[in-house]
Amino acid sequence: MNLNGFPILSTLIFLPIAGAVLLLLISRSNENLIKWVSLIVSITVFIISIPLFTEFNKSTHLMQFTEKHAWVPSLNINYSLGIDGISILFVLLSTLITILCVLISWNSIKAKTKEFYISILIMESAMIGVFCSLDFMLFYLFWEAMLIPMYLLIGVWGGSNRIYAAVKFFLFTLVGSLLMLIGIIVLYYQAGRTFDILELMTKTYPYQLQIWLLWAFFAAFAVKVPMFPVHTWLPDAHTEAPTAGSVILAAVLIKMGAYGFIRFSLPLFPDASRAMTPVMLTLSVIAIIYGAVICLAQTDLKRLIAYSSVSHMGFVTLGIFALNSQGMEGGILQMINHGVVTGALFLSVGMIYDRTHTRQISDYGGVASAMPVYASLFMVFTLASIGLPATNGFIGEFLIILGGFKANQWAGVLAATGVIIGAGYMLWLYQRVFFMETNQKVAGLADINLREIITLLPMIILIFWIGIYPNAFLGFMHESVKHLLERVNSGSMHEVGVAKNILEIIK
Amino acid sequence: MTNLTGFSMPDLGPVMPEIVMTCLALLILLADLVIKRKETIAFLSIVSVAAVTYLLVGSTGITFNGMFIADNYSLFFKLIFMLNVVLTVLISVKYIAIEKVNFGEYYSLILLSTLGMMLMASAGDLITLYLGLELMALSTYVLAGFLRHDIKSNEAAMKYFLLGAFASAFLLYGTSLIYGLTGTTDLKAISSYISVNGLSGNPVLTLSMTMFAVAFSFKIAAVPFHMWAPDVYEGSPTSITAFMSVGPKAAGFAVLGRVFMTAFGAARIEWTGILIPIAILTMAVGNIAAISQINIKRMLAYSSIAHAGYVLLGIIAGTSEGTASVLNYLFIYAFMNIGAFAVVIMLRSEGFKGDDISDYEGLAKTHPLAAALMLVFMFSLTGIPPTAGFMGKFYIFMSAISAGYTWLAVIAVIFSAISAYFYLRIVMYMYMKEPKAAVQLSVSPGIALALTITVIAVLVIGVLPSKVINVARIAARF
Amino acid sequence: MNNYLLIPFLPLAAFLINILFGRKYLKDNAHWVSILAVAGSWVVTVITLLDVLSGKVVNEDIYSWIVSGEFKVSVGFLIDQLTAVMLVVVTTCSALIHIYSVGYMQGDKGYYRFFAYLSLFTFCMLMLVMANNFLQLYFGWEGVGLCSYFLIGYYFDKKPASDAGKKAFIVNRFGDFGFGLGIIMIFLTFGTVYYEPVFSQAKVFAVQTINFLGYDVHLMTLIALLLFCGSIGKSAQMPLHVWLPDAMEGPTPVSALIHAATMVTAGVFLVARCSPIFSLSETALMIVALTGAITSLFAATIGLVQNDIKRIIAYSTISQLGYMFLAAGVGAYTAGMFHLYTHAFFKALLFLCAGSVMHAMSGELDLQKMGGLKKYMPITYWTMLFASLSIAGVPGFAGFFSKDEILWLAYSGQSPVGKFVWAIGTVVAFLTAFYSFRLIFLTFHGKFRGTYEQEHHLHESPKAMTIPLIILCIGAVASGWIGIPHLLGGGEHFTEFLTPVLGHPEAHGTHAEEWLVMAISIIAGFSGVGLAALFYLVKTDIPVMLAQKFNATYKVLWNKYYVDELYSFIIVRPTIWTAKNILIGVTDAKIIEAIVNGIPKGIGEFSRILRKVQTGLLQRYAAIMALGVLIIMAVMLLR
Repeated sequence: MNLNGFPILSTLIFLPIAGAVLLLLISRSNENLIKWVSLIVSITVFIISIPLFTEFNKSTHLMQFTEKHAWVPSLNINYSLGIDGISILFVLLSTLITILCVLISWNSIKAKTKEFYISILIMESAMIGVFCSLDFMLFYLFWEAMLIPMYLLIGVWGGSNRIYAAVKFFLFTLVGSLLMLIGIIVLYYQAGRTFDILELMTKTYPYQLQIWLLWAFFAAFAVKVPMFPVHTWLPDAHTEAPTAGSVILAAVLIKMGAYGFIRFSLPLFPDASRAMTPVMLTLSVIAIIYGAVICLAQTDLKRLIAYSSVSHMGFVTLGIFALNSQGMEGGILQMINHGVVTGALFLSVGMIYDRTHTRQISDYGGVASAMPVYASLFMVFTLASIGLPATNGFIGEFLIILGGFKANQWAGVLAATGVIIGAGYMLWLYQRVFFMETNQKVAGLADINLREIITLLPMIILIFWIGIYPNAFLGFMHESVKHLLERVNSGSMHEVGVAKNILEIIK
Repeated sequence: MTNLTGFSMPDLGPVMPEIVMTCLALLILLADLVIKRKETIAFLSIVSVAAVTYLLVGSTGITFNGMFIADNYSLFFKLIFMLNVVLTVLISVKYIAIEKVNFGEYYSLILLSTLGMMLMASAGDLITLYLGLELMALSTYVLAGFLRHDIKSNEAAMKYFLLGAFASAFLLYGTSLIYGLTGTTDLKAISSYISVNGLSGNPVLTLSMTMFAVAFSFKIAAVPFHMWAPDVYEGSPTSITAFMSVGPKAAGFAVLGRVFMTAFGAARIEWTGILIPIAILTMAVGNIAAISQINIKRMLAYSSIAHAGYVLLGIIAGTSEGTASVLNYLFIYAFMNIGAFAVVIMLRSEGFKGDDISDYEGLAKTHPLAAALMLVFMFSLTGIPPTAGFMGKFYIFMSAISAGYTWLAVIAVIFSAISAYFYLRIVMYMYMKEPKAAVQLSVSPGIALALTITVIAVLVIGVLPSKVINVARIAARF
Repeated sequence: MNNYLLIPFLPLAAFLINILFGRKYLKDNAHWVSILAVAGSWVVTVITLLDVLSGKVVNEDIYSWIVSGEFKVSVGFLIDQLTAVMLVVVTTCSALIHIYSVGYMQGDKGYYRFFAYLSLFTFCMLMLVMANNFLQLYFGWEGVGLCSYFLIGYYFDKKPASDAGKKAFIVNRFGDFGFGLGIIMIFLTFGTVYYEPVFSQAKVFAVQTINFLGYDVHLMTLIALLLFCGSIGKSAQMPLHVWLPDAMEGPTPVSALIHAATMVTAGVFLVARCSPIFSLSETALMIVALTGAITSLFAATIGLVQNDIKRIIAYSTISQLGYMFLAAGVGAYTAGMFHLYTHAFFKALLFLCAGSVMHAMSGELDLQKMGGLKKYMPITYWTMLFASLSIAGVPGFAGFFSKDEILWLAYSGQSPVGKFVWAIGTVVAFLTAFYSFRLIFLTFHGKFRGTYEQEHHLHESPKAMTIPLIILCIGAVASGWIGIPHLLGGGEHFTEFLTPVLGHPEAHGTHAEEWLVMAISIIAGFSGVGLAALFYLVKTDIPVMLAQKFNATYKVLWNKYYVDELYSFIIVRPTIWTAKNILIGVTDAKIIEAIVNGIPKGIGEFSRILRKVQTGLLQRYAAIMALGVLIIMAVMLLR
């Protein structure tokens, strides 16, 4: 299915780069033009990505919109693109988030504007590329290429401790991904010289090798997710990054780790994955509770949301390694959810930060009186974050806990405690910022303007759309997830998890 | 004595580029006496290089009884050398004027040094090799000390010369030992003698290989024979530092590859035993020591040491894939390293040295284009896609892994991650700090052209590496 | 026609209209939207009730909500007798309280917001009771919790209010934790979360045990108790009752609607709804009964000494909810539901009267500062008096019939703890009568004890408030009449109506016993009223004297058994302490970050050492080279 042979994925990848080149040519003094060009480019990319959503064939697990060209023939590296039910939503999320990042930065980025928007657009290309690549080298190229604009986004336009955060982010992720690179090459030779992901997935690998490679890949993906205990770059990066940077990080970048687990670790190393499930589930549960509890003691708005990401991503990995359809689909959906909700939270925090220039929670209070519209929207995000039914967070968390419980009762039960603590820190945060007596520093602040409302509106729509009619999104995944789970669970090793459907046990 | 009647004129076709190069280098030396505008001489040397390059492509073959081999392998290296000359000349023109050493012999020395390299690349005999190596070395010693009034430059030349002589001695020891053992200095003959007589494991052979390894390690600045490099790189004129970091290093790898793969092919297991620790140490010391440098030339010196470590992996792999990865890497390295030095040179202006890392603070604000270029080179040196540096490293790792050295590749990536720290530091200074003082850039058409070539090459090879890799693969077959 | 869909979705529409347009456009007219919507719901409810009475039960899916693997659930509705009862309670109380709020909330700056929340609450509550599967029930369940949070914290600029809202939400999350797991267990057991197949198959698992977290437990007991966790939270039973008294920070109509008549009874509804599961587990039922009994006693004792008019009623609510669980626990689900239904009227009325009093007293809540209000606000006085008579179990009033049915069924039922909980129930009946009339006497009788300004300000509330009082008062008096026991010549219509869903409770006792139980409860009620009259009308120094004499007991009661303090001590503070001092202070900072920053630091140190090796001395360089050669040679030759 190629939309009459139109290379839609390539267009999505290269259009932002073309936009970036265009920006290069614009005089840096012409800031308005720079912004408008960026906005138009990002909106165009989003519009072009919509047919993916409408034309996608949900009844197959096969890759769609595929493109394949020889790239480095001598090493059998191909420029190979395609999306399936697992990746499609992330492509759309990336294209959407970029628009919002441009919008949110409209007035808050005052220095090096040109470089900023170039970074954002290059970032978009790389993000889309990561989710569309069907060749491991191509994937790796995009995966690593993201580091450059992100490093700049944090380091150039970030907060006071930005340099430390940027370097930390870069080194953490680089160490992890370089180990993955070695893993990729080993796999290449093992599978008979191919980087083709689909072909690699049809092969079986010796168990011992699977274990080694699993950990090599784990290094890259776990850091990105980030899983406990390699999470400490995240609070720093999130906190110091400019709003757009935090949003991209939260909404898309850290999804790539979990995406990597699903796209690569599980189907390539099914036996090792099953064997390592207990470790992964344990780490996930620790992340959920650890991240949540630590939020209770945060005094910095962005840092709190950052740590909450650790907790929420713990849910995601829990769902993925539950290795059943509820967990997996819940996990994937929760990735989208977290992207939407945490992205929205960072956008919102950015809006108020632009007005007050403080991230300290104690500097706020009574914002609901000063900015009622803003407060209501923030409330929706808060509720989605704590997984209230009818919001997207609930669907994801419920499916994950269900799947997790199925895989391992303790994992499910302990993960569910994260939901309690989640309500605790988010509502406490909301109370301290929005309720109670109006703090001097926020009295008389202007409520959010139309541009800001428009920035948040897509998130609101998505929150309720996914919450009320999640099948619109889950529907994309069914076939791909089913196929994946067949691959993972078809191995010779014993069935994972304790509690299968009890009915079956009785019969 | 050779029977005179048996003498026939050797086929000069394969060696024609070298002959032409010799003539042109000497001509330029003479031309310096009549031509006052030094830019013209620079231009002439580029024309010379063009002529030689033109000749290079057509002339292949073995001549002088196998002492001189013009094959694809040597051709590839010679192209790197030509590239090196062109880029060096382009970045030199304004620089040596600023340094007030605008003399014509500068260019002819570069050409002569390159001639040495060309001989090294084509050496089919240890004697040819030695001749080429000394020619290259002596010319570079002079170039290193070209800033006559700068004591650091003099010191650099002196150190380079003395330690270089020390290293040459090892080369001669090695040669005499191998001659004593096999009775020949011809690489092919040595190889067949060793395999026919099953000499692998012979202590004299081992000793000899060690000597060669030491001598070549010196040229490529591998640890622990690298000690000269930081001092010499810092003291030499920056343009020459750029020249040295690419040319002699590539030449060193050319002979290292040919000697070890051809002559000592049968004793591969043993020489890998020598080279592996050297490679690990080189990566370790190069990358780690670079972190605490405050002078960018010194930092790039250590970076250059570290890169030699990565390239050694390709040699250690011992396969033609490995050799191809070495060629590919050196080719890419020429662009990204000279590119980086070009930016360094731009910062040098009248009365401003501009080689402290702190001089880069806020460069993105004062000179965004220069900063952006430096950013590309730094990320390329780190090996981050989509720059060529990534493709170079990637291919090296591939060849190492395919030869079974996965663990070595893992060590390499770890050091490679460490290297990110000091390369990023430059980016960080440029982009994330405020400018201290207004830095003047000395831009010239030459530098502009050099930067254009290098940055385009770094990005294009990074995205479309296929051509280079293919050529390298062809060249890697001896 | 899916007429019934209007019931929940009219209020939802009202919510959306109010929240989107209220602030700018509707402003002081916001109530019209909400009132019309809820009135519409009420009308449709009545029509639906008639349908149900004629035997028509609806159970259908609207659209598929979540599908993942074998997990499938839709948004669907079940309207049976049980739902119908709840619909009537919810829409009636909601409609009346909407109207009351017009008067009560007049002039408030968040007027539109208040009505928006009320409508949203009504929607969620209706979704809760109309669900045909557990997940949608859970949706409504959390939804009402959310509205409760909004409305408790309605005066968000006051810290206690926002604290209370947050507390309510989080405490409920503890209960929902179990509830959620219960739903998951149901799915894993039955492969579905729809009521109909779950309840019809439940018997298959009657003796099934399962390994849960390493323990072998009876499956149905496990599921029942997990579900009951939710009930404990939502219906404020021990040990999760702590949020409800604090919830009184919300506007009084909210207390009446959410924290008396509807939301808090959702827990009882849940147990009744799941009676097929609970009935399979004697253990679970016993725990339900004991929890209910102990909570009702516990809350009643606290209610004896409090001075905050709304908090007393709140404790009374907890206590009465305990009663309902007590009933459910002895298998008398219908009796529980009956009490739920009568309680909705008289408790809502009590709250609204309290609101009316507050209105007159300019927000004053302290009983000790009131007194003699009877003459200023007769309607409030009389309606509240009737409500109190009802709750005190005075024969003829609604509360009497439902309470009596519970006590009788507890006494005569099969439950092993039946007699025990009956005894407690009777004591509680006495205590209830006492504190209810303590409230009446201290508020409306005697002399006014407040300030001069307050006295000057006293007035009866406006019509918008008093009319709902009067209507509710009719309910508080007469709503019990549809469930008059056979013993008194009644038809027990209420029980009969619910029998198809909840079964018929079994009673094993003689008529004589039934008379006796009734008599005892009447005596308990009257003596409570009498004692209150003695203490607060005649010999008003007795309470003070008692408080001094039994100082320790008084203090414990006054401080609500120190439960809040206990939680703060064992849960809240340790958690935050751990977060600060262990997770941030040690694991993140001292362990992970130490490694993360330590490695680069170490490399940096090493780098500086390497730099020192590079001395610049030529001889040193040559020596190092030579050393290198020697080492390599040695290694190569000696190996």
